[in-house]
Amino acid sequence: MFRCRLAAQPEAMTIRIQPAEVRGAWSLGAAEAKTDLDNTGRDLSAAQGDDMGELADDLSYAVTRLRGVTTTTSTVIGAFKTNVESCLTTYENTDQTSAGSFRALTPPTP
Amino acid sequence: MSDTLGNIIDGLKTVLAKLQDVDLWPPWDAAKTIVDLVGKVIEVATEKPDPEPGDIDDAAAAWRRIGRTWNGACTDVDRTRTKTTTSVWEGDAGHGYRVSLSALEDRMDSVQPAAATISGALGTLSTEMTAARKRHGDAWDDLNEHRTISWKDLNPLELKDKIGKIREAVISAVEDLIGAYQDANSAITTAARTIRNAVDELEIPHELPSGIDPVSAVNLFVGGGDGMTGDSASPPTWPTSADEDIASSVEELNADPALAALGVEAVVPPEAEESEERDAPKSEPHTIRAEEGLAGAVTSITSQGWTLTYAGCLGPGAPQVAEMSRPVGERVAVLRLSQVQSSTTPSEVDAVVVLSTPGWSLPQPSAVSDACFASGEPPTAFSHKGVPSLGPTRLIPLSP
Repeated sequence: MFRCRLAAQPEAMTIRIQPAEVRGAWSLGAAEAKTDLDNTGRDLSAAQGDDMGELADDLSYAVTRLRGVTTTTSTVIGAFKTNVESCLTTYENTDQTSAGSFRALTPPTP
Repeated sequence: MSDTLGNIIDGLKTVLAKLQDVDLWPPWDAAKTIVDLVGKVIEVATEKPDPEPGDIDDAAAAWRRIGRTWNGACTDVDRTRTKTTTSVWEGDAGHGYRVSLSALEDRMDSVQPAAATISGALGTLSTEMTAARKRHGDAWDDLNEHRTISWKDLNPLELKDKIGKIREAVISAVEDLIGAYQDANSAITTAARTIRNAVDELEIPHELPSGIDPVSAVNLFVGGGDGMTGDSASPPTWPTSADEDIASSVEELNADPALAALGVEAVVPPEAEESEERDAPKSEPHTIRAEEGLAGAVTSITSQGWTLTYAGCLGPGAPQVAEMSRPVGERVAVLRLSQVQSSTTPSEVDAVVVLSTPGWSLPQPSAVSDACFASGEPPTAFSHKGVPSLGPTRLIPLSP
């Protein structure tokens, strides 16, 4: 009688992540950046100026742009944080064999 | 300020024209007219040009604070990136995270310079508005002296003389008022352009489309902005004096004795619309008899103020080329002679001259010596000296 034998499954390799260190680095940097940017509302209002005469529309244009840029940046930092937590959860749920993927931001086109 | 600077300037110019037209006789009528016109100036130009320097300085300070905040935020993001080393998070996701933080820093880095540019532009504007408002104030003080005109014991001729002097003083004050508003207008226009262009340099979008992941939306952002809306580039045009310039240059060129001896004559090309193609001023192809060959012709022409700038012997059976140039007013003329040496027509040389066109700047080419054709012998190999510079013969304007 011929008996076939199943090949042994290779053991999945683990990757090294220190979640506490990752979260600590976040708190010390990007989290503060987001807070600071979220608090620029007063300066943005002042940047528009009072009684700016015929420059008022142009400063309004600039402030509207920068306000939007600030919101976008804050949103992206928030998305990073969500992605980081998702990766750390995947890491825990896969016995440290995977962290999933990080949706990468690309630098500006030169 | 309720009216625009442009309207105020226009209003003052109207009053200025009327002041300059005031008939000083009879002088009492002139005095009344001048006082009425001063009243109109006061009506139009009471307020100093806005914005006030103090308000501008406040806004500039806010932009400096914003710049510092973004600078600090960039440093914060960088701290997270440098602390999240591969030993803290290894693997592809960790790499993607670090790359993303770095990319975010790169994009955020565009904000601080823009804020600095804007605060700088506002600083300059503040200085210029201070000067414009001082000019307004000084002119205003001068004008105020003539809100009323009174006289006693003056005979009509003396009164006419007095009114004439007052009119000149009022005209001078109004001209200064116009200058003050024009200075302000110019300063504001410059600041406005700088401010809009600065925020258009930001590398992060100011709005995110709905239904798309924010990171992907930023990745798709290509930069730029509305900038100076409605300020589209004008098509390139010829200088307004191009036709006149060409005609006078061709006339000067055709008076050249060397060209006249060759029988070569440049032709004024048809006039072109401001953005149209046009022909360069040039001669028709022309064959001359040069009894002493190309070398002899070149020697003769260069002795009459032309400079040999290119000598080319293009090989056996191929043309030998000489280019000579000379300035013609602000233009440069290039004369090309070419000859194919043969036993049957040894003295036939083709000649053409092209004059540079306004809007196309040709530097005077450098001189060359020891031309390859100087010996008069047929060329046996390719050799040349200098840079060919016979200009293009069909041109389009390149500068707006």
